[in-house]
Amino acid sequence: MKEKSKGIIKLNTQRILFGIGLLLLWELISGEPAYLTVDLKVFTLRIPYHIEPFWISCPSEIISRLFELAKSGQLTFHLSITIFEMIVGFIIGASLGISLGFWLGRKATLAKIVDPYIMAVYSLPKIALAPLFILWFGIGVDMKIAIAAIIVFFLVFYNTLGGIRSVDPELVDVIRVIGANEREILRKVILPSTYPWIFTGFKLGIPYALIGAVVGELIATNKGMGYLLMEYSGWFDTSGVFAVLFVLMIVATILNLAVNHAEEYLMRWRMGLPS
Amino acid sequence: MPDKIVLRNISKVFTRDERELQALIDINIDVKEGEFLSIVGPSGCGKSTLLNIIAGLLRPTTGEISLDGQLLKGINTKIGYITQKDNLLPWRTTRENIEIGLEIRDVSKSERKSQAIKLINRVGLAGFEDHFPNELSGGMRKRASLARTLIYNPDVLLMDEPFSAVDAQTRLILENQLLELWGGTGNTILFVTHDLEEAISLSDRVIVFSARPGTAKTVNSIPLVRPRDTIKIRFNEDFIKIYGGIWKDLEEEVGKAEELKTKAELEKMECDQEGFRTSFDENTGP
Repeated sequence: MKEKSKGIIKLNTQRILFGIGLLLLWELISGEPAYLTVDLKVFTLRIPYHIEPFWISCPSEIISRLFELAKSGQLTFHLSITIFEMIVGFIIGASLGISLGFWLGRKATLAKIVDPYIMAVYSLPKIALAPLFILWFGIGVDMKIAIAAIIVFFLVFYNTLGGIRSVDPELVDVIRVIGANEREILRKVILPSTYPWIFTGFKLGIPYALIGAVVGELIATNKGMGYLLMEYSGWFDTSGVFAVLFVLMIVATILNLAVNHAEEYLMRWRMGLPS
Repeated sequence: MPDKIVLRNISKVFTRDERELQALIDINIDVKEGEFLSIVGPSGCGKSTLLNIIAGLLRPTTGEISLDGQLLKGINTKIGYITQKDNLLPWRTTRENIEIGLEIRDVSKSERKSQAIKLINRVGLAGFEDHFPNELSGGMRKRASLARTLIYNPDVLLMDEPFSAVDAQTRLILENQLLELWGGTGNTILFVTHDLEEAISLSDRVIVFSARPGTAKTVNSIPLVRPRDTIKIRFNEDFIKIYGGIWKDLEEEVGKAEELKTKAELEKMECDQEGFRTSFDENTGP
């Protein structure tokens, strides 16, 4: 055990050092354009070792911009809007996906009939629906929620359906012989055996909900992280753009970590870990 | 002893892709109350089908089943069914799996727990109450599935090759444990296996099943004294004599089953060749 935790500490140190190294390199490269000229007789090779900060900004600039954003309260304002859209969109999409998945999963004939139609809508790039959603919901928060919701819906729906279809009929039989009625079978066998599938849907859906919300904001809005991105890009403010991207990256990473931890705990019966 | 289960003229025909397969034919068996009855037969002789019919999971094509003199309709919840796969719910711990029968019968939580713990100790799973099935060995899972069935105390146990998936040593231990758990309960056990030694060492009577379509070919009493040790009993002279007698009947059926299998494979190959021919013709059209 001790050896293992030592290994983890070592790995994490290496990772942090690697990150610092990357940032340092970035900082060093950023500056007045300059080239290293190598004369090869036939032609001269010009290797740039400095790149205009207009294109790539630099870490120190981005960090100070982040502080500025946080201090002015802008970051909290825009971030909370994006996260709100993401969460509400996720909840709506996921609950519709689970309910419809369950309902259709229990109706084999109907599922066969509507399958190609659902597949057709699923194949549509969901972002292409944005103009339609603008017509329906306007350019407010609702439209972003709708985009996030429809993306999450399909991910959760298909996973739930897959889960229902993969329920082991023998498990159902065994519990039925023990005396369970239909309701108990649904609650004690079918529902729990779809959990891992639904969870996979969630796991895919959470980052996509964020994508949906941000893309919605990129298309049309006056608030949210997507708006901030567009705004900075409009001002040719590369540091601002990088600052927003950095925040989005942190949010997505935290979400992924949270989902992985939740999965490890909830699905421990699948992992074969001692409880 | 009165009859616990009576099977009359049971037959089962499966229809698939417009082909008919007679799995069982004309089965008449009386299972006496409190006896340990085994059915041995070659693989594919419909033994599992018969247990599924008795459990009410499958309807027989003809014939009827009665339990305690009452005609069986629908799922038979008066029996405990132990299948080849342990079929434990993987998201439940050992104890939660064992409790499920009481949960369905609305037994209170504390009562459920105390009964489950008692049974866990009896089947030798103490210390593994809070483990999930995938953290248990094959033998332990088997014991857990046995405990799950015993907890609601069904007076009939149907066991479908319950020990075929565990290794030979564990199997001997589990067989002895089964006899210990069963001894004195007065419960009736209908045990299906393809292992004649197992059948003889456990049972009061052994029925030999014929190759497909399956039917009871011979019924043999096993007059060996109880309590038995399923390991030592195999060296008993009477055991060897009984084994020799029944094996002759079984061997013939195993041979037939092998023939059927070969025939089925040949038919399948012919089908495949036909399929190949049509697709070939299509490809070489004008």
